[in-house]
This record gives sequence, C-alpha cells and structure tokens, in this order.
Amino acid sequence: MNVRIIKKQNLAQIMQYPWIWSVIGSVIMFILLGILAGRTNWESLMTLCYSASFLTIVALGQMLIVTTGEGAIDLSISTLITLSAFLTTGLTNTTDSNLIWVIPLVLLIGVFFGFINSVLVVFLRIPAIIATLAMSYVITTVVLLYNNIFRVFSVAPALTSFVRFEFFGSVPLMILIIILLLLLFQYLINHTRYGKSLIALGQSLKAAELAGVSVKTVKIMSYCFCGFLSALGGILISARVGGAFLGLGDPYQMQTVAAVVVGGTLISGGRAVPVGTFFGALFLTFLTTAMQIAGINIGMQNIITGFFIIFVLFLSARTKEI
Amino acid sequence: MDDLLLSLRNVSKTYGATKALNNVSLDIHRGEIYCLIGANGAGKSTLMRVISGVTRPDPGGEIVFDGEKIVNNTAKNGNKLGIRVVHQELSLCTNLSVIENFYVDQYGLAGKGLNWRSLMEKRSKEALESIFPGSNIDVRTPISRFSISNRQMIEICRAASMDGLKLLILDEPTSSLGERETDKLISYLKKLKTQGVSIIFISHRLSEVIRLADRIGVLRNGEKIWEENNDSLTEQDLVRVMSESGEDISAGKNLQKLEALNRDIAIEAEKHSTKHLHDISCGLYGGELIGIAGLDGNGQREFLRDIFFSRGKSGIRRKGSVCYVTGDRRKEGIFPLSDISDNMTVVDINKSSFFSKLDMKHLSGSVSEWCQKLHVKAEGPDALITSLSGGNQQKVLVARSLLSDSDIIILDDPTKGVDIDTKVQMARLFREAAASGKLVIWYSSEDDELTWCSRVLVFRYGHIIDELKENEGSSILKDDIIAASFGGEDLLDKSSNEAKRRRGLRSPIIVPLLALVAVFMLCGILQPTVFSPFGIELLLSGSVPLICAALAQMFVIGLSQIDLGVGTFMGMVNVIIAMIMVESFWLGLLMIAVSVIAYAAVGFLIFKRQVPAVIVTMGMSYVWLGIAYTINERPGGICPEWLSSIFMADLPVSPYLLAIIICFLVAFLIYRSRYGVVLRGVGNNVTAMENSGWSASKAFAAGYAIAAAFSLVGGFAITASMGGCDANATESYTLLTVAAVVVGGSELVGGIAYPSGTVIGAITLSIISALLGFMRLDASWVTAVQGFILIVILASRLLRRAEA
Repeated sequence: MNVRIIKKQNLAQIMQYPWIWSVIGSVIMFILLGILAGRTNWESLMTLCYSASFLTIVALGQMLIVTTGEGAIDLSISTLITLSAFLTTGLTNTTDSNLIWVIPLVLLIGVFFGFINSVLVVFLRIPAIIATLAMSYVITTVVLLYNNIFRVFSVAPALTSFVRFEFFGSVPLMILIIILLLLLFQYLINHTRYGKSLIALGQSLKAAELAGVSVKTVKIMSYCFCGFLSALGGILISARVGGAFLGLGDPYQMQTVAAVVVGGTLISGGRAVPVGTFFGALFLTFLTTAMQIAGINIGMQNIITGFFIIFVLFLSARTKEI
Repeated sequence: MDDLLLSLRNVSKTYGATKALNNVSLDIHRGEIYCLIGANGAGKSTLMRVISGVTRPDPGGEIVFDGEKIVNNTAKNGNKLGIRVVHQELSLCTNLSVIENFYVDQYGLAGKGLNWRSLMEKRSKEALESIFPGSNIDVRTPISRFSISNRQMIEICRAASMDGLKLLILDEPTSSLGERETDKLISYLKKLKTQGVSIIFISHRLSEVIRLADRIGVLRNGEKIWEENNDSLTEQDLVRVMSESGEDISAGKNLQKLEALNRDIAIEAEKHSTKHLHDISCGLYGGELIGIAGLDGNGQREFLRDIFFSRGKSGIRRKGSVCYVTGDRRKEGIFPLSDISDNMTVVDINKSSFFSKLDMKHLSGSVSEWCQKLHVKAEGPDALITSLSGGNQQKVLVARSLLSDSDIIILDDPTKGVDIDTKVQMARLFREAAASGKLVIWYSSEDDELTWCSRVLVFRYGHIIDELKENEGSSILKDDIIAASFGGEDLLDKSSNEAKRRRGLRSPIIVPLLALVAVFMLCGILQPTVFSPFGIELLLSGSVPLICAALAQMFVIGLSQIDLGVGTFMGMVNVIIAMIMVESFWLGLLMIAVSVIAYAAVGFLIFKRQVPAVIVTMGMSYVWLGIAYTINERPGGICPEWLSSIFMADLPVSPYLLAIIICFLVAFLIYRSRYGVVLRGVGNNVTAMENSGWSASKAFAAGYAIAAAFSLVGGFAITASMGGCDANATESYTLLTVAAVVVGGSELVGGIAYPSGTVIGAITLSIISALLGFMRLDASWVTAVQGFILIVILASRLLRRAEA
C-alpha cells in the first residue's frame, strides 16, 4: 500500500511538467537537424520557430477541444484553415485597406463554424469526431464552390509584411505573438473559471455536472475559440504562402493532434498544456524539416508521422494507467 | 458422502479504513437454500463477490468449495467450478437475442454443428418454460426490447440452466420481479434444491425469505451475527435481530434541537411522480438536517437527483442555491488529475465570471481552513487528490460543498469508506451547517448515521412511507429507522410483471429502404433512363467500392469504435493491385496479406492499451497513404486482366450486382455465425463477455481483420472500375462509410450493426451523388449533402429517443 502511494507521488511530480518530454525531444531533434544540415545557428532556430508558430496557433485550438474529453477531436480545423485562407485572399483582393473588414469577418466566420460544431456536439449529442468530420465536408464544399470563382493570386502586401516582420532583423514578430498567446492560454487555463471548468469537465463530465460547472457553456466557448484560432491560423498561413489553394490546410489535421499529444495534453481530456503544445509543434516542425533535408519522400514522411503519433499515444497511455 | 459444498473460514475483506467483511465463517450444504439478510452496507454483496471470485479476500481466511481449497479465485474460475451469480446489475448483452445471450455464456453446450442456434433456442425456451412457465418471452428478440423484469427473468434462467451448476447465488433477484414471477421463482428454486443444487438467496423482502429458506443468516457491519434454521421464524423476529444495536456512532452526542426556521431556503414537492418515484409530497426548509432512509434502491437517489436537477421539473420546487456531494467519488466525485485545492474549489469558482482572474489567495485561504477543520491528511493543497486515502478524498468532497456556501447541500451517501471518527466529525459538521440556517439533505446507506438528523424520510418502492422526527432531548432511533424501512410492502408496484415491450419498428431497415426508394424515384423522375436495366446497373456498379468500405466500417462500429483508416487503406490496396500485383501477383498478394495482419494487430493493440481508436486509425491512415504514395504518387497503373475479366464476365446477372449480393451475404453470415455473435457481444458489454470466458482483445483483432478484408475487396472493385489506381481517390470514403452505416440504422455505440442496412445506406449515398448530377448541381455539393444527411439522421434519432 505504501509503495503504491510513493509511486503515485513520484509520478505526480513528473506529471506537473508533462511538457518536459516535448522539450527534450525538440532539443534532440534540433541537434540532429544540425548534423543533417551541417550547421546550427540562431538564425536557423528562429526560422524553424517561425514555421512552428503557425502550427502552434491552430494546435492550441485543437488542444481545447481535446481537453473537453470523451475522445473529442476537431477534424474540421484543416478545412477551416483552407477556407479562411481563401476568404482572406479573395476578399482583400490585394488591397491593404480591405483588411480592416476582411480580417474581423473571417475571424467571425471561424467562430461561427466553431459554434455550429458545438451545437452539434452539445445539443444534438453527436460524437465530436463525426460532427466535425461532417462539418469539414460542408466547409470543403464551400471552398470548392468559392474556388470556381476565385481569381486572386497574391495576398495584401500589408499582411505579408506583417507576417514576415522581424525585430532586430532576426526575431520574427510571429514568435512574439506566440509568446503572448501562450501567456494568455496559461492564464486562461490556470487562473480563470473557464479554464478550471474545462479541466474539470474533461476529467469527468458527470462529476463536473454535479459540481455545478456550466458544462454546456464551457464546451460551446471552447469550440468557438477553436474556430477563431483556426481562422486566425488560416489568415496568417495564407500570408505566409502568399495565397490560397485547395488542400492548403490538410497537413494540419494530423499535425495539430500530434502536437497536442506530444506536448503532454491528455488525449482523453482533462489536462491541457499550452507550453507543451508549442514544443510539440516545434518538435513536429523539426521532424518534418529533418525528413525533408534527409531527402525522404512525401510517402515515407507520411508513414513516419503516422507511426510516430501512434507511438506517442501508446506511451502516454502507459503513464495514464498507473 | 460429505454434504458440505462450501465452507468459509475467517474470511475478511478490507477496503481502506472499512472492514467490509470481518472474520466471516459460513457453511453451505448441498441442496440447501441459505438466505442472507442484513441492513444496508452489511457486507452481503461483498461476501457474494468473494465467493464467486470477483473480489479477492484478505489473506488469512480459507475458502473450501466442493472439497477443494480455493486460492486465487477469479470470476472465470468460479464459472468453471459451477458457481453462478445473478447480480443486481445485469450482465446480458442488450444487443443480442435471448438465444445469443445463452450461446455466449454456454458455448460449451452448442455442439459442433451448424444447428447451434436451434440447440440454444431449445435450451433457452426450456429454461424459461421450466422457471417462469407462460412467460411468453420470444427468445429471438434482442434483450433491449424487454422490460427490466423480463431481463431479470432471462438472466436468472441463464444462470440456473448452466451445466454442472452446484451453487446458485441470487443477489436481490426479486427486486424488479412482480408477485407472480416471484412465486414461480420460489417454487422453481425449491425444485432445484431437490436436484442437489445449493442456493444462496439475498433479499430485503422478508416474507420471501421466510417462505424460501432452510437456514437464514444475518450480517451486520461485515460480521455474521446470527444464524438459525428456518423453523417457525417470523418477519418480526428477523427485523428484531437486524436492528439490535451494535456500536453506534451517535453515542455521546448531545444535540441542540434543529428547527425549520429559514423559509427562504426550501424544497417543496407536491405529488411528484416519475418512473422511480410515486406521489412524493414534502416540504424541507433551511435549518433542517433531513435524513433520507430506506433500503438501497428504493428511490432515494432518484429523489436527490430530482432535487439537484429540479429546474424545469413540474412536481418539485427549489428555493436557494444547491450543491451535491456524491458517495461514488471515483465515478462522479473527484477530478483525479487535479490537486486538492482545485478539487475543493470547483463549486465555489462558479460564482465568478468566466474570464476574470480568480482570487487565488482567498481560495487557498479557505482551502487550508477547511483542510484543517476536517483534518484532511495531506502534504498540502497542491498535492494531487489521488495521493489521499479514500476517506480523505471524501472529506475534500464534503469540504467542496461547505466551502461554496450553498444554501442547500445534498449528501448522497458521503461517508462511504470513511472511518468512524471521520463519520462523527462529518455528522457534526452537517449538523452545524443546518444550525446555521442551511438545508442539509443526507442520504446514507448506513442507518445509524441518520440518527443525527432532525427529520428522516423513509423510502420504499418510490414512496415516502414514514417520517421520523427528533424530539427535545432524544434523537431518532436507529431501530425505528430499520423497522420503518421494511414497511410499505403493500406499495409494491404489481404491474411490473407485465411484459412491457418497447414499441418501435421491428425491422431497422425499413426506413433506410424507404429512403433508397425515394432517392431512386427522384433520380428516375429527373432522368427516366435510370429505370432501365442498364441505368440500374450503372448506378449499382459505382456503389460497389463504397458498399465494401461501409461493411468494413460496420464491423469496427460493431465494436463501438470508429475507423478513420478505411478509405486510405482501400486506396493503398488499389495502388498495390494496379502497380505491383499487375507485375508480380505473388508479391502483391504478400503485401496485401501483411497489411491485413497489420490491421488486425492495430485492433488488438487498441484494446490492449485502451488507446482511442480514432487517433490510432487516423495515424494508420497516414501510414497507408504514405505507402501508396511511395509506390505511386500520381494516378496511373493498370488493372490486372484477370481482375477486369471477372467484372466484365458475361453472366445472367451483372457481376457488380453479384458482388454486392456476395458481400452482403458474407457480412450477414459473419454476424450470424458463432463468432459474429461474440463480436457483437464485445461491442456491447465487454465485461460480461470477458466474465463468460471470451477474449475481448482477440475479438478486436478479428473485427479489424474482417474490416481489412472488406476494404480489400473494395480495393479490387475500385481498381476494376477505374482501370488503374489513384492513391487519393478513396480518401473521401471515410466519412461516407460512417454515414452509410448510420443511415443503415446501425448505432455508433452498443454493438448494434446491420449488414443489410449498411448495404442499403451505401447504395443510397452513392445514388445521391448521381441525383445531384441529374439536378445539374456542381459536383462540389456532393460531399456537403452527404455530410448534412449524416448529421440530420443522427440528430433526428436523438429527438426520437428523447420523445420515447
């Protein structure tokens, strides 16, 4: 009996820093990358962090959904990214002044789709995977229809320079945004009623209900946030790649889930680690870059990523059992 | 011959601080009916779990069964020895028919031939007829269509008809049976005992016990305190034995009288009736400590839930804020990943707004205050709640409600697993809270605790049958509570014995079939050539891959899971066939075979490690896609000649139609087969299946392997119809397969899956894309419409269920 308690306490100490593994993984991967590329320096680190920042934004949304528990994942994030990219590019029509109304509109559309998702999940009690998968099909159709009349091939210059802006010529603005976003999330999760309620209902919906937690409201807000972040991600990604194309968001479906799981967020819900999600995204970016540098073809990259997430999942399942 | 069947010597079982069983010794003779009675929490169920092997006793005691000493007993083992238990919670698979439920439990008796169904049908009919003659239970009907009392009857029959039965344990078997069925059961048990079977019978209904028993034993606080042959005993004798006070937690309390002073806080019920409660009328007010008493499961918990969720209910009114403390801390109490502080303040924080900063200083102040008041033994408020002992966890839950300062505190058996000092401490706190003007409602399964209350409502059969009040200077007596608990025998709802079948369409495929016809007719109206044989063939031939993929998905959904890898797996098979098999048949075959095995292994691991299937299969979908890309990224390849000649064959019926029929028949026969029944059983009730001796992980492997096999066939069909390969062509199939299965009437959980419906659903969905084409809609609309249909169907099912 005593032994068991001691074990639990040790585990508790490790569990306080579940993101530590993603940090260690990122460091190892960075060294590996350096060996592969033949050089490591501040600049290459910044470039990689810059790439990871886009994934981080959308992965934080995924993290909220995963944390609501009961196996929830949002499968509509990737298509929402594509849609937002299309809308941003198409509606601004390369004119900077249009950004003033386009960006709020696109963000609003993201929140709208998130809200619809939450209605399907909370009120119609459709499993999140099915609801968001179906929603992703609906969004895909919207994108396809829009693509038929889409004739814009570059983004507004202001947006491009915003995304590419660097402090002191070496620290990208995007990284600063990510730091602010992480601080905001840390505050949300640990210091507000919203965060505490989310963590509670993700662990045990029944217990949360009996403890008077506003289960429905918190879930709805989480889906809306996720929609918002996906739209934000879509806007920034479109600026980064200089436009929009079909399938733009597709890689993010798997990568958001992977970043969240690698970062120490529990896939079964009830524990959210924003910092870990960032390092998870960083790790995945390192991994993808390493595979590209090593000349591994796209098929093999898919295989490795697929196996990798399953591997991490099995590892995290073990720690949960004890 | 030794007529002793079972003998227990000094068996104990400790859960944390509580001794559920304390040195119990018990002898059961062959052909004897032993009735076990006792108040709530006396240890009866624990004792039965120890005997049947579900629970392992503390070391030190000895169990001898049938002349053999039993060590390391397990439930499976207990089955083999000839011990069967009918628990209060039923262990039937609700999606299987009576026949199939008999099969999964008594598969040893099904013979080797194809006629196992008729054998089992005969067996189950005989069992039902011999125990409950004239019960009119149709053994071909799935369990979900039967009323609770019918399910109980089926469960009893299944256990009693087991081969080699030596000891039958019935734990409150009559709680949901009507009078007539109870009579039948009693006379059957008397008959069974003449065949040498021993019976342990647990019941709260003393009249039954007197009629049935050879010997009667009484448990109290985990100890056997009394045992007597059933000669000229009366119900009053038994009540007296059970209520003779043992140790009393109320000893030495000196209580101030509580009064209902605060009328601003109130629960008022007037003729409140639900499924479980009947004509509840009462008024509870601030300043009172109300006890809710009665034998377990007589509506007490339902009453508490109705108070908590009283918003929008008609018969019950609540004034004041409310808070709920559960005794089932594991399932609905604690948040195991959070620390003590978060666990304690989760109710309190609901007062603040969602995004403002919580006052952590204030919160941690009240946390340490309550930790001290309740003597929570912990390293500090930052320690994980799971690092605490059960009793201390329970204290945290109680503190949760007191800290939040709610007006009404509902206590649902909050002292479970708590030692006696803590109990007294808690009782004092509850009393204090009431004295400060709150309304405290305390349900306990231990009657002596309720002597602390100012008023006790006694429940039986969903009615309030008695109300006890404390008087100046004298508290409520435990004996009075126990005596009252056994009253109200006449209130038993006699109607419960009628077989209430759930109404509904008997065949689940009628709706999908109608939908198919409707879509087909619409197509025909827009494009009359659809009605020609050629038109039909064209529509059908396009649907073959989807049908196969949907059947694959169905076998996974039949295990209550979802497979996101079906589409890409089919795409990979497609690429392997058109790129590799066409060059080297055997290499291609080998690759396909390996991937099917990998698929099965994934299923096995998903169950073994209890990881979410959705993400694993999503990960695997990338692997399949990656393999396909590695072989050939762009559309290309050619269909092997032998394959195209199969689908071009000049047969009297179209080869595509033939393929559909064969696929359907195979899927149908798999689910009809012995192991198909097991697959569906595992999808419904894993624990019950494992207790019956089946390996759920093997079933998962098998289910995923079958799914892989069907996607494989789909891969062949798509290769033939495309005449080549395209790794990306089948990605969109994933949602479609889920949609087809759901459209076909299957459920996402519970092992309810219909091959016929799935085939019809798949055809409907693929015709819809044709229909949209006829309507001159952009092809882009297809996916949205299909996604929309899925949502509408799932939503409408929910609404229908809400109505029922």
